[in-house]
Amino acid sequence: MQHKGFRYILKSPEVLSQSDHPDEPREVDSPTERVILKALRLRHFRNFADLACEFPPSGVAIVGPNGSGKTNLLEAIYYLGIFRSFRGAPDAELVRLGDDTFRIEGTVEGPDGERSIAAAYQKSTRRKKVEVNGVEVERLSDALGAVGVVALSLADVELVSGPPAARRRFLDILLSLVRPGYLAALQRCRVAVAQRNGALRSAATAGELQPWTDELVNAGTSVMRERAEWAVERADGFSRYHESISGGPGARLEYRSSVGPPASVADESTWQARFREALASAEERERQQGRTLVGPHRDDLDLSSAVADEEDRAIRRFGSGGQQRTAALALRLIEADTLRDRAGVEPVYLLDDVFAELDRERSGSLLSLLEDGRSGQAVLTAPKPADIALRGGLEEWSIGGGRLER
Amino acid sequence: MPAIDELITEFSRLPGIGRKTAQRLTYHLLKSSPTETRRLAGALVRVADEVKSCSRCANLSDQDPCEYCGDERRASEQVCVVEEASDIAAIENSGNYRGLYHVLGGRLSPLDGIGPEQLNISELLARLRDGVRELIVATNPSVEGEATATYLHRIVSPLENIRVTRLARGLPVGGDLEYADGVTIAEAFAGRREM
Ligand SMILES: [Zn+2]
Repeated sequence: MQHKGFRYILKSPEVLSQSDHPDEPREVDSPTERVILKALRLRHFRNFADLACEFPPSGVAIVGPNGSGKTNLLEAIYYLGIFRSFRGAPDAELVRLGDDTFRIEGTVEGPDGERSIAAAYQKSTRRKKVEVNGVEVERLSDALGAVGVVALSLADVELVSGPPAARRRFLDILLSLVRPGYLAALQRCRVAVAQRNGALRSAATAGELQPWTDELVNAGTSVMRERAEWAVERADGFSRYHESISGGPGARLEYRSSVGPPASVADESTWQARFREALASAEERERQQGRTLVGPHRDDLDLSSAVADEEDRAIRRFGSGGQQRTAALALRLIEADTLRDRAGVEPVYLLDDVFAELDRERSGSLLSLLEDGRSGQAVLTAPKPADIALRGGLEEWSIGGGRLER
Repeated sequence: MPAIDELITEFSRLPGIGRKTAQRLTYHLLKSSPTETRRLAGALVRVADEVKSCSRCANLSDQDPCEYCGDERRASEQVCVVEEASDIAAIENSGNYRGLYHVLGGRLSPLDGIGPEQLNISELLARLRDGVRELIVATNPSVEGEATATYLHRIVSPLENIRVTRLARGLPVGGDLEYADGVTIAEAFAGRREM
């Protein structure tokens, strides 16, 4: 309660018109409140020795050649949202060469007023520190999502074409931000899997394995249910965005659980029973391999194109590069919707050179999706001055040599 | 090694004490009177020489049986299982519990090679035959603590006339017993439920 600055992220879902009617198109005409990154200061972060800047409320387009640090800047902003690199880089890699500590400070304005948030990491002690309004938070999870931010990047194609772990990471980060209790259940689940694997490898008796199975089923069921419910809620939006960007068919989004066939909404006890059955039938193989073969850590988010008269085809395997990029963008857009519906506040949009590999039509469609009902501040990067006029044409800054110039 | 360095090194081996704190402690002692420092040394020697594990409950004490097992006014039909002897102090400070204890000496953790044989579980089963009516499982609410509770329940529940109960989940998430305050622990005891 001491950080009243981000009280808005703690609103209960009932207060918001979140997901009660997933089939109805979401209202987009009411002006949504938004969070604005007003100022940023980086010290010893990636290629920046010391950088300070103030952002216009509508956002900015940052132009610079590859290697100039455009993505690093977005990475720093995103870091204030989840205190991790969106590229999955370890913290030690984010410290500028030759230095020991990086520090990121942001000033953010939301519906509840202005607040400051800072994150720092020291390589030698491996210590990470997060401050909200100058007060260090006890646990990082207390400040998670204090800056609502969504990043769209070319690398997102990995979300679609990459291994299931990439999609699980996407789900885990997003649901940790919006579902109370999700992160705690996920952490318990990870411990339970690791301990259960230890028990399997040490040839535990049935009686010794059982307690770990119970813990896994308890924690794992709530993780899988949250994920599956989210997928059901957002399937419609995913299909619509896919359709708009591609100008072609919609697409399906489904949570596929190792516990059973494509899982729709089921109650806790049904999930638990199914989970137990799946574990029981896998036990022999599990003992041979010394690891848990069923559970949230083996699940996936299925993305498939829905062409009439044809069987759904997994975009991961059969999609073209363009289709995969389209699906990735649609995923990021439903991520933004999820954050907005949870907090009632538009996140900051980070767009890392996303228009570069899209054809004219797709670029145009993405642009209108970003403008239509999305008023969030946008920080966009591009290798050369853009012919894209987002938010009526953003102010353009150039970047190079660790500096920004207006 | 010079005496000062030796003490700094010894202090810095303690949990939660870094090199800097170890230095501060050492120089603090050097500034205080030799009598005080010898008293501290004496206390350390006594702990090392006199404190043993209680032969009944595995609590750490300089008496055997320990002050709880040896206290006839305590209710011997209730046994509260804890992970570590330090948990007993936390429960005693909460003020309400008047039964006996049993210290497991850890919790199940296959990753660390800790199975039932590494804990004081067979000793517990032997004790339960002497008129114990309720086993209160007060392992921590961590994944390992919960799994240990489930395991104990499974092996104790076939015994006749013994209720197995678990502390209510009032403890802070991930919070260990030894860090919980007295009121919270008292509430967790009052709200305990049959497993
Ligand atoms: Zn004793």
